[in-house]
Amino acid sequence: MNGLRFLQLAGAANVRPFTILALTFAAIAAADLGFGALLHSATIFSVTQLFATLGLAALGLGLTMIVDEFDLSIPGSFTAAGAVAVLTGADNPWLGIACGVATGLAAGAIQGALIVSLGVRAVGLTLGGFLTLIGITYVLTGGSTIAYSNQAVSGWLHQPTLFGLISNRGVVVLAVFLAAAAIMFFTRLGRDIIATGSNRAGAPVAGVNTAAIIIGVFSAAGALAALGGVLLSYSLQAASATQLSDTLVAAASAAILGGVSLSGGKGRALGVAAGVLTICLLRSGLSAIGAKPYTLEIVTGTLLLVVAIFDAPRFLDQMGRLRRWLGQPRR
Amino acid sequence: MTRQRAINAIRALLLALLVAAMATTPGFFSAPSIIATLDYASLIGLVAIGMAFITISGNIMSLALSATMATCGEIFLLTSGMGMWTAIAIALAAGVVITGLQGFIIGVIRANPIIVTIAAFALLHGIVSAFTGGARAYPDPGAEYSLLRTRIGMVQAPLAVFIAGAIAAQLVLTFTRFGRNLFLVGSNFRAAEAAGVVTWRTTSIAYCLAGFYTALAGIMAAARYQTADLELGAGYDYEAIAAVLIGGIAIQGGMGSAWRVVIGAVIFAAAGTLLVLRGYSTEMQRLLTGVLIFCVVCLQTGGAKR
Repeated sequence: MNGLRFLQLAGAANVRPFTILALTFAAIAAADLGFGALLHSATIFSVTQLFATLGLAALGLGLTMIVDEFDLSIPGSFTAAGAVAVLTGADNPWLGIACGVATGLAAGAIQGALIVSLGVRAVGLTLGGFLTLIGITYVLTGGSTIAYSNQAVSGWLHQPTLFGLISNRGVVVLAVFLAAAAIMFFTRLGRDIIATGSNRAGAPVAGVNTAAIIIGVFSAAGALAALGGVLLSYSLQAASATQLSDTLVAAASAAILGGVSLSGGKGRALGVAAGVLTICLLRSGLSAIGAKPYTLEIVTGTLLLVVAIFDAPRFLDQMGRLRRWLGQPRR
Repeated sequence: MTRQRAINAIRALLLALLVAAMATTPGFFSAPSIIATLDYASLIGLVAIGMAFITISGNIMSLALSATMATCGEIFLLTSGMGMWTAIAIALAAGVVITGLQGFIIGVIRANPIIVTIAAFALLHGIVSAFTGGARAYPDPGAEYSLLRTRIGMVQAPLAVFIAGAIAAQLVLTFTRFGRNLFLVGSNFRAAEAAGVVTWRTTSIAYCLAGFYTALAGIMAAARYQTADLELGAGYDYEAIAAVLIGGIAIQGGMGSAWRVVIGAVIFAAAGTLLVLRGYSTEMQRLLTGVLIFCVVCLQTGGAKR
């Protein structure tokens, strides 16, 4: 009975992302057969570096999923902001950050405003936004990789801290996550975002300005992805239009593993952080124990598919039907 | 309805601009340019017909068709030693199974179509790389499939397949029970269920057909280039949905036709040819294509507010 109670706790919606994270860690450690590659500080550092790269894009995408939309332009803001920052921030890195984040913010705000005013779903519109942002990046970079010469900035961002487990860039990303979690949890804004996602038609009755929330969420999502892109480009000292083309797959997986519901209205920033860590652990962990690169794609794809199935609106119905068919009593 | 009128006016203006650009661009109406345009339109169009089945069914779009196209192209080349028709049959079956399975999952438990197809994209990339070790696929040395590369006058093989495929798709949409059900499921899912439509079956068939048409595109592209890898279909998801939307098919589903896809694919390909002939850099072409798609989505969705 105690075991069952523990399972229930571990499976509860708020805890589930952390349970998945722990299970992933255990599974990779088991596959590692106790060689200890996973616990090597270099592996942990590479996990947190990946976390810094993917985290903010996943948080942004997760926010749009909480309001029951899906922003395909997230990788576009990520990539375009990196190029903008590299071009404008050579002398003054703060200017580069400001311009890069402004790019993402503007892209998100324009798309959010169009979604609200045209009354359309975001998927189609943000597909157009994604292609436009990638096109802008191609024009800005001339189709090649452009270099960022400010070594001091990239050195600082890349510098390990906290016993060499995480870089300064990782700490910045973590701080943004904590801030987002605080806003979502403690402020009325956070409640309004959840309300908009749960029931967009009903939320205005409770005094929620859903149009403003949608525009705000898309702006924030664009800005978050952009900040992630700027930090990555500064850190790599480079930007290109093809940088990290698989951001979308990783960010979507992370958000969903992090407990963001595809039907909207559910999701927490710290859950997304756990989801991102799970994906990063898979990536770095699998390569640390010597798995082939394609293993990662298969594992990520399978995970995403499994979560999509478990999250599907009719999943419980069909399972119930299956259970009745098998002749077992329902709870 | 003033907004609808304004949108129609903008559409007409854009079309007029396109025609003007065609007329003033030297060489656009030359034979090589027209052949290249129609050829490009055929490959996009085949994928776009497949995409249209998904869009009409109310499932927006698939992000896995590019990977499916590449996979089927590789399968066609790798099995080409078994004879052309066998290889075609295997590649088509692969496309139908891969995409049909996604449709089954989406149809039965109403899983999110975007996420399922993103997952399928990652899975296809992983599984195909595992099989090929990342190497390009080449045809069997003795393989004979010159039929797929023939050209009669202005008509190349992909164009013939595209036209035949579009006619077949239109017949399916207009005259079959599946076609009727598809429009009903796409426009009002609950009403379709209430009317006794087996919705999961309709959704599954729509995805099977999407896989079929995408596999056709993969086969024609692989036969053209005589080699294939996972990049064979790169970008086709976006270009296909662009053709679907330019043709005026509503992204929220429930309406559309094959001839709209044909028009959309030809307009999209013509715009691409114009950009090349006008001497824009590849980077600028990408940006303008992106802006074009963005505008089309805004214009397209504006009229059909629910």
